[in-house]
Amino acid sequence: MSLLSVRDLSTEFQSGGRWLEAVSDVAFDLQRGEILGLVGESGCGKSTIAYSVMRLLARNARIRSGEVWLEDVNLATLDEEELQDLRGRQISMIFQDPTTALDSLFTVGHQVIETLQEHLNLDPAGARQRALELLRQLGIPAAEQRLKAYPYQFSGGMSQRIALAIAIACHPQVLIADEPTTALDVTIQAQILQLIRRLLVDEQGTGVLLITHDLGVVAQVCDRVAVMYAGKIVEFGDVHSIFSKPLHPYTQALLSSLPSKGIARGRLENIQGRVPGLADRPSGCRFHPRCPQAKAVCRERVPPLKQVSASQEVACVLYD
Amino acid sequence: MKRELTPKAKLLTATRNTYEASRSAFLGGAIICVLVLLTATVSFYSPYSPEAMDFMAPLSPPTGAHLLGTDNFGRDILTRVLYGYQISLAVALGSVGFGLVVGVSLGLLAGYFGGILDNIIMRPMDVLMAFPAIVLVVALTGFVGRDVSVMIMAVAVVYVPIFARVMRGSTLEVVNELYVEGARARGASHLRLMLRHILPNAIPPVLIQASILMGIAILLESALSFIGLGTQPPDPSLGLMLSEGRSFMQQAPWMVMVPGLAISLAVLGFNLLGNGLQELLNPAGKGR
Amino acid sequence: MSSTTNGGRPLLSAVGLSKYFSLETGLLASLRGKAATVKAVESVTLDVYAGQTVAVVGESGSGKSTLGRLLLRLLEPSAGQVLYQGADIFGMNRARLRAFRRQAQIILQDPYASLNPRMRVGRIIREPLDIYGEGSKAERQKRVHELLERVGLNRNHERAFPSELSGGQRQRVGIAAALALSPRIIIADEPTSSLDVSVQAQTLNLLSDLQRDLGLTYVFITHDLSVVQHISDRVAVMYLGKIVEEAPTETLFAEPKHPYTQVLFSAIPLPDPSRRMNWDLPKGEPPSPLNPPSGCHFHPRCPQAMSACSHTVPRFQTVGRDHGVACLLYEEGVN
Repeated sequence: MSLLSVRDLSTEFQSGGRWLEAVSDVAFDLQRGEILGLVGESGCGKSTIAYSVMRLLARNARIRSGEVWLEDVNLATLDEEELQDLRGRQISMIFQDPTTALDSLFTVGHQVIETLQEHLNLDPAGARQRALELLRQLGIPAAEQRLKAYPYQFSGGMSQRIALAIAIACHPQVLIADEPTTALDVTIQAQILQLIRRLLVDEQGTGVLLITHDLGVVAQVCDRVAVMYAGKIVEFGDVHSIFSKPLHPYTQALLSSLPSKGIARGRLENIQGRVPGLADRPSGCRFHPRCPQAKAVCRERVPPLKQVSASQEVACVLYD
Repeated sequence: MKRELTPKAKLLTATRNTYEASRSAFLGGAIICVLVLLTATVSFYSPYSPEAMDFMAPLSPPTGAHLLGTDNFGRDILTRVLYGYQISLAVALGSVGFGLVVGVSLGLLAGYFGGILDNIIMRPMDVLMAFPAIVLVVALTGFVGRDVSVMIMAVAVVYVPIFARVMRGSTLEVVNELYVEGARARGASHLRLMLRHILPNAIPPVLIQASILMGIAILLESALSFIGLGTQPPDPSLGLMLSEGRSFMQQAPWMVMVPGLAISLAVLGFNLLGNGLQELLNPAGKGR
Repeated sequence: MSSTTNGGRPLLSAVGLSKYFSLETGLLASLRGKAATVKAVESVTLDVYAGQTVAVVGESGSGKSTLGRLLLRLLEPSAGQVLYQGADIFGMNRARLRAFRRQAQIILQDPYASLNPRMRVGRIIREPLDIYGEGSKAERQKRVHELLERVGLNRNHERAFPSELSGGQRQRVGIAAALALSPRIIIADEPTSSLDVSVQAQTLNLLSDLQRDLGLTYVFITHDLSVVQHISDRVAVMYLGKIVEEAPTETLFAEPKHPYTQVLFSAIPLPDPSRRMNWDLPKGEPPSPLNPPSGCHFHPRCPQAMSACSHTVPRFQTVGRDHGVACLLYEEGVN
């Protein structure tokens, strides 16, 4: 059984009295001990999925339909109290801006220890011991002193480590990471990704849903990847298959627009036009107005995600 | 940064707040507009002069002839309130206008150039700020004389440092914006940077402040007149009317209630406008 | 690919350029008798030849943006010179500085923050023309239309406010404004780092088209090595205020010499799952520029550090054709 199973999830936002769909009928499974990447450009709905799963949507957003199964519990219909109990203990989240998770008025130690006490019923001394252990595991030097420091005294990379420490303090089964390294320097990014991969996934068997716009990050750490465009998953599968043989024209275009594809200078491939806004998503396949291989049928027919090989699914009429 | 849900969510929430805020700003603006219109044209439609005494009807309660009653000299209270507003609004507009022009210029210069100029400008402002407003105004009016223009200047003196301080703070934020640096790189002069790039982006908090200080100016004028340092009888002034009405509170409560409510209404109008503007002009609604 | 040996003098060069910021000013600091200084840029020497693109690469705190601002005299240096066609821009009077600013422009990083939110696009692009009193009103208007078209926007965008445009479109407006005065050199500070990949590709293509058509010279400040590889002729790598390595792009990517450059390369997440990084990562984080390590600034994180590195400041020296590096590994007589 999958750890986390998202079924036909649709999430919408209210804008000027209308409800606009940000995520449409998205479905995927997350297994124990894997990193699943959700990749796409700004506005594709990848973060909305994360917030829907955590049920942390803003007041003007709601899950319209769908189920989010964390093992045998449907998070989409759970009441707030039970949900609060699961968050942090079973399912955790880290954000692009690590300071979101840290309260600037309290020392880092206070916050880590408080989380531990609350969720694991530890006594203060035990919680402190565990906190020190965690910080050391996450490669934070001089953990003893760091516990006494305030969040503003930390660099971005250090804050993200602390946020990660709080997020994984109770050994959650699922970690959702929303652009966790986007604001960090490459060398620090590599360190954080390594922690997630080695410590969390390989050693502890956590399932990680990694949301990113960076295809490089996906290629380096993910096992499987879902490529999103305008609120839908257009391609899904094993990361090796997708990077070596992208099937959907959008995935192909995205990969070939990367500047590092070869040493030669020259023109980069790019996709004509721009990502449509929530209010003006096209009919049929949402990529068709920008697709170099679009046919007449693409305007009308919404292609479903179809299994085309053992390791790859794609939503495109070309593979019907 | 601007990725995904959070900013989008904020933007959408902002629209809703914007709607409520614009309602408040609209209501406040409407109150003020109606008051200004009524007072500016009062001499055309009012059957009474503010000083005309009707000895047949002193202390008359509200009637068909005197909609809001008369005072102890039989003067029509509604007429006097409307004329009283003229002075209140003149003091409010005059003092805020003067305070804005001087305060904004000083704050802009201090924030933009910083350093020594900042100290030269802001230290005297701090000294002025240290005096309680009412004491400063009382001292000034007592010293120079009791006249509307003196009152305007006195309140303006209180307001200049407030505007200067808000403008300076706002300028300090805007001056570090990338677009200011960009304009500098394109060769823009100090004057252009200040007037074209910084002023329009730094002024919103000052305008909010201005709206609220208008209300306070009306209160200040009333208070001064109430204690006899502002408008002198027989000129109509809301504060003066309150003071005069005190002795007749038992027999003619409308003599204090009407000017009292009139003051509240004007202050409410400016505060609603100020609060609405604050919501509308704050960074979230600025439409990033 | 042009190189430093192409004769002639550079269009723009930094000579021993330094910028120190003092952090604490005021009474308290002077009482304590020490003002903490950050050496944001330290003795940087860099030549930029006409028609070339030179990339300045570094992580946050490396001083790369400060260097960019010094090159345009948006900041005054603590020491050193910036020569534009041989003349020191810091010695220029107002008139000559104005003339220099016409020829050297900047494109700023964040297209969300770099456009005045209360100006319409047309006015933003026209402003440089207004400043320099260029042509008649009608001519300026015509030029604005030309520029809009040049960067791939149209006349409908002229009346829009920046908030009505997408990130990519805003960056185009920034580029149009930088082009308005037909400059010779453009300093681009992270011009694509906040854009999505497909928009980044469009923007990079636009920049290289402009370079080809207008003979522009670029100084490209970035943290993104994949962009560097695509767009630049030469690369200078900065770490904590100093240039640690400089070489033609191909040389640098083929054989990076400085351990920091090597580490930087190994940390780039390549979009290729079959070439996963070996996680041989540098230790720790970049130290605070407030209190940089002695000797070679990189030695506490360097996988190849020797005992001498902690006290000897490496000299910048040539190790190959046009290839310079500041590392004791390549200094004779030290190891």
